[in-house]
Formats: sequence, structure tokens, C-alpha cells
Amino acid sequence: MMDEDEFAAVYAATYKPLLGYALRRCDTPEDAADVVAETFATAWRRAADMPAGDEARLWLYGVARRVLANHRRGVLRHSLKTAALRAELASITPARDETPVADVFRALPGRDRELLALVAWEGLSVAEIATVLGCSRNAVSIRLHRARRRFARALRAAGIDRPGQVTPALQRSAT
Amino acid sequence: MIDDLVAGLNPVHDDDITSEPSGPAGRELLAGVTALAPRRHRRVPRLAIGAVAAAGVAAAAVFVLPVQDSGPLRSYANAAVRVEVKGGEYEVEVKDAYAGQREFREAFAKVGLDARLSIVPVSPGRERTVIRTGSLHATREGQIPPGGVTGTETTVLQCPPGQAACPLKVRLGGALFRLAGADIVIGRKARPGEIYQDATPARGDRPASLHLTGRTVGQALADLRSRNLTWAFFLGEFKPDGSGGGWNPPESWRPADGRRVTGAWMRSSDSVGLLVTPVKNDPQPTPDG
Repeated sequence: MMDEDEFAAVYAATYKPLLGYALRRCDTPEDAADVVAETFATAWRRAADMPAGDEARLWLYGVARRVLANHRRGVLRHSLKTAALRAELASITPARDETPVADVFRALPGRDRELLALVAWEGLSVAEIATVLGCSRNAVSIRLHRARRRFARALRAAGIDRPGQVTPALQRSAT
Repeated sequence: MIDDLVAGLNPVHDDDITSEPSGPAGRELLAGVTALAPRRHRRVPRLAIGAVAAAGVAAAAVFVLPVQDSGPLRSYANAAVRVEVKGGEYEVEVKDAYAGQREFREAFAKVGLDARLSIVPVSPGRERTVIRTGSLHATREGQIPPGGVTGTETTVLQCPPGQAACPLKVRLGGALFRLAGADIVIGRKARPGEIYQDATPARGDRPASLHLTGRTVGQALADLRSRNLTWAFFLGEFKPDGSGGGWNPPESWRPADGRRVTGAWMRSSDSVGLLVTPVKNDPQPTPDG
């Protein structure tokens, strides 16, 4: 059974990666604060199941993923006070990217988006994603290949053939 | 290349996060978490695995059934909003137009509606109007039945003369909003100095009384100073039909006094937007510009 000091060490090592994970996927910093709080609360309750070392971070991503899914279904529990964390995160408001590429990305199935994001945003390898999702490396490789292919196809369908070559989209004033 | 493209869409980098586990919020959260009672794991004799498995199934059934039975609520209200399911329609009544997004989303989620309601400050005359409605996300493959899906939206936004308290209601019906979610943006009166979310750059003066289009930047700024108004530049070009685009230069940037203003608009009660045609060496668009 993990004791409080061991848990605190894992908490310190994974606090910012978990905040990043939640902030990148939540509409507001407040939601992200709640998701992170509930993720650590779940981790504490299930501390006996939590692996050691860097595996803990991957395991926590998996917990956060399920907490986030519950949050989206409106069933997030609020067992913790998060006012201070919300206040600290208040200045971080993820800007909604309105570029055509972002629109295409948002229109992808959620499972594809999550796989692509775990690679590009969290910087995870196939093996690490397999740990997060609780499936085999082979399954991740196949799903990832399909997700990349679907994104490329959707970009082409949207008339974005060479997105890397596109100059920054002109934006109407957001002010 | 796909991975690079997705990386470019990352809305928050870890470096942007200043909150630390050793900071006030980090310490408070850890204290709160570790104050929770950890779940105890019972040691189970190997021979009892079958019985435990059966107990596990029963426990799962107990856990799942209430969720299935309860389903989404038929109505829900909090301090910000009241949502009611009437037949196949959702009726949304806004009680506090200044409430946070979270309270709206909470209420929608309770009745099973995947919706985002934004009440944004708008220019005078556009209060209590729907600025935009649309889908929140794409539908999944196989969700769309033959013939497609439709959605209807009815708004009750006008305030009858002489009435002290006015309803602000939106009714959403049809499969479209259930499958693709609803993204509703309604205008509210802006507080002094609050940026109007519906103010967009265009050619000419809006309102016409600004009389800034065609004047030099130097003249326009002198005029604005005399009227005690602030300003923000916008670099871009627009055609007479309103099409075109541009970007926000850095706040501190200002063009040379001799350049012409091609459009001006009120962007808040005390601030004016000034459109200037970009030339060589002007600031270039940035991803968040």
C-alpha cells in the first residue's frame, strides 16, 4: 500500500503533466481544475493499484481520461475544494483555434483525436499509449495509423491538401 | 507530417502552466486528496475467487442499475439557468446572463443536452439577440439516419415594453441538437469598457458619426483623444461586400501618422477599432493574432 509520502512524490512529479492534459481537453480552466482534482482523488483511493515510476504518469493519464469522459457526461463528482487551483489556472484560457485545420481535427471521431493528441501533445510513444489505454501496442499502432489516415483524408476533403504549406489563416478580429 | 500538424493545434503547452505542486493551490489540493479515506483492499483467500467474482458481478449490477434507471433529468435549474425537457424539445431559460459557462453546462448535462451557451457582451441594439447558433461537434459515422437530421430553434428574447423582468428563452428541438450538440451565443448588455463580441472590422465608419474613415492615423488619434476614447488597430482589407480579412497587430504597435484609416467601429463603450491596410514591414499575422 502506497503511503502518503510516496503518493506526494508521485503527485509532485505528475501534477503539471496532468494539468496540461486536462487544460488541453477542457473548455475552461475551471473544468480542468475539477478533472485534475478528481483524478488525484481517484488515484489516492486506488493508490494500491498505482504503478511506480514513470508508469504512474501513464496510469494517471488513463484515470484522467475516464474522469474527463464522466465530466463530459455531467457526472463528475466534486469531493474536493478546487477554488485555489481554479484561481491559479484562471489566466490560462485555451484559445479556440478557428483555423480550417483545427475545424477538421475537431470533426474527427473522439477516439482518433485522443490518439493523435496523446502522440502530439503529450509526446507519448505507442507503448506508452498502450499503457494509458490498457490495450496492446499492436492495437495502438493500427488505430493510430487509421487515425492519421482519416485525418489526412478529412483534410483533403476540406480542400487542405498541403496544410504545412498554408500561410497563417487570415482571421477576422476576435476583439 | 500529421503529427506536426496536430502538435501545432496544441492549445496549452506545459510551459504555459505556472501552477506548481509546491504552490498554494498544489499544496491545498494534495492536502484535500490525502484527507480522503483511501479505499481499503481486502485480502481474499485464493479458494474464494469464484465467490468474489460472483460478488463482483452483483456489485457491478448494483452500481450500473441506478444509472440506467435514472437517466437524464426532465428538468434542472441552478442559479444561472433552468432547462426543461418538453416532449422532444429542450427549453432553456437564462436566469443570470452574467453566469459562468460552467453553470450552464452543468444544467445542460443534467438533462442530457450536449450544449454550450455563451452569453456575450455585444454592441448596443444587439442585446437579447442570438448572435450565433450551430453544432458543437460533428456527428459520428452511422449516427445520421437516411434523409438526414433537422433541428429547430425558437427564441423568446424580446422584452415587452414596461415589463420589469423579461424572459430569455431558447427552445431547441429535433435530432440535430441531440446528435451534434448545440452551440448557442446570445448577446447581453456590455459593461462599461467591455469588448463587444459582435464588433468586427469593416470598411467605413460604424456608427457613421465616428467620421474617421479616410482621415490619417494622426488625425484620427487626435480626434479620439479629444473624445476621451481609446483605440486598437486592425491590419486588413475588406471588399465592399464585406468579405476580406486581417489580423490584430501587437497592442503596442501603431502605424505612421500619415497612413489612412479605412474603417472604424466601436469595439466597446470607450474604445474604437481602426482598420489600416497592411504594407511591407508591418507586423505579420501570428497563430493567435
